[in-house]
Amino acid sequence: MKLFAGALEQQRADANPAVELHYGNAGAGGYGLKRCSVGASSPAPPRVSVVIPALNEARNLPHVFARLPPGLHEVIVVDGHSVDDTVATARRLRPDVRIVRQNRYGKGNAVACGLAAATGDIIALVDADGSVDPAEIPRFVKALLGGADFAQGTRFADGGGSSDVTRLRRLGNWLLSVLFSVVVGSRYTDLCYGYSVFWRRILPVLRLDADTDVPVGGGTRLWGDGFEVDVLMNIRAVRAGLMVTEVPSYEHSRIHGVSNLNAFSDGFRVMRAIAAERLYHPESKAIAHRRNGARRPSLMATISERLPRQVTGIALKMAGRQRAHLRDAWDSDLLDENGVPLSLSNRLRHVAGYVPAAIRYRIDDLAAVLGRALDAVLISQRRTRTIAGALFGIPVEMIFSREGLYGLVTNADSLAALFAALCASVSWLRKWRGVKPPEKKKNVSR
Amino acid sequence: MGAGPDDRIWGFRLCEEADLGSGTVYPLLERLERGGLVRSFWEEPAPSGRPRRRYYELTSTGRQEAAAAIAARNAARRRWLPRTAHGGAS
Repeated sequence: MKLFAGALEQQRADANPAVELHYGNAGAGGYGLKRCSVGASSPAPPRVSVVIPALNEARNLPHVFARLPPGLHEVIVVDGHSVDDTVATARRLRPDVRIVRQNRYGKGNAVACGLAAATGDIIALVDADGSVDPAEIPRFVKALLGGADFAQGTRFADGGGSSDVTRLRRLGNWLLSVLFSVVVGSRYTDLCYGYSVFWRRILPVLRLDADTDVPVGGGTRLWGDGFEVDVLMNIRAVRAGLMVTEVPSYEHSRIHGVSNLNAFSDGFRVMRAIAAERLYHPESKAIAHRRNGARRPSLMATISERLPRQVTGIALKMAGRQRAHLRDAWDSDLLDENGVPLSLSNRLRHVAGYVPAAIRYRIDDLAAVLGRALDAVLISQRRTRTIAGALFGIPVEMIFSREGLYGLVTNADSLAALFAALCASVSWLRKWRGVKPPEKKKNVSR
Repeated sequence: MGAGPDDRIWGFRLCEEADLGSGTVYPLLERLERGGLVRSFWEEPAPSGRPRRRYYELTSTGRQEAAAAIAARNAARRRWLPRTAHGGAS
């Protein structure tokens, strides 16, 4: 990580698009993610280009533009063949705006075209729907100046948040993050959030295709043209060994209109993106590893190395916050005295037990709560009578309403048995729980 | 679990020696700890090459209870296997 602190000056000098990549980080298996809040200041501020892909967002653009920070190098609106007056609105709001027409369809293609047109040192990608706050851009820039190559917004870190995310999306996001960290090896808290800011010199790494033309009306999309572009950029940045940092960000409700995003189909697209990048585009990882003089580990090997760590993390989450301290104990269980990992089969066998252990912990917790509630009832003669009375009273009432007094008389034996059973079970429960109601004075005291 | 203070017991070792899975051992340990039969503490001083281990040991009540439980078990075994020499002391 220290390598990158020194890369700062280099980044300053690096105005040309020729890539100077830092592969040093990839040796750590790509665990290069770090929440970065370094407040480095530099003499000449970098030029910041803001790229806003917009499809029929004329009504939201005023809000987005109003929040743009001052001193921007340029603002680029990528028009996704809008049928409303998105372009005219943008021109009216900001006469110096640059309008780029995307050549294919989809958000990913819009992003690609916008990035290709940008000329600043730093590019900020901002959604046009008003859900991300462009006023946060300086925070991202600060992170980049602090040594990061790529700053990704996160709603789920301290200082971030969202007024728009549903539980389903939160869950989906979490699952995708876990998948991502298993397959790619970096821990993200928020994978599917379209707010990223990065140095323009890393563009070649992102390999976004802004040139290939597809006949308009053909409806054909190339790989990366859809919503998967956000995750693609992250994967490619991480796997090229760039220093990626997460910056807390607050997501607002979109102002007008409904999201073009579908939790399931786009979730699967992202999942597919993760898998496809790992399986079909291994070259970036290969380069990164060759630079370190190491062989690229097989998919199986990387997963089996990471799996124990992931399972432990999941089990700890399931076990609840009060058992977070077990992380050390559980991690050290997998190592011998000298910190050398045990055999893989041993580790996997041991780690596999953490999940049922977590479930049992939770069952114990639940039982403790229920036990306390039961104790609270048993300790008070009055509460016990109320509940037992209800259990006895309900059948009595049912019989009485259906068959009248005669029914009660004919069923007297079963009612007596029920009464006896209730008395017996109360005294048995009291004995089992070791609870005794206070003698003499029946209630009042608690 | 009846081990002396010099050789420490932690989760993995207990699993190995008791031939139980970690999914059984850890919840049991927590339950015993809550019942005051087991005490746990961190490895001191913290080792350098790996995270700290969590050590477990019987409290004095725990030791008494364990002895009583073993005795009861042996007694039960003797009842069922009357003619073996020593039961199954462990």
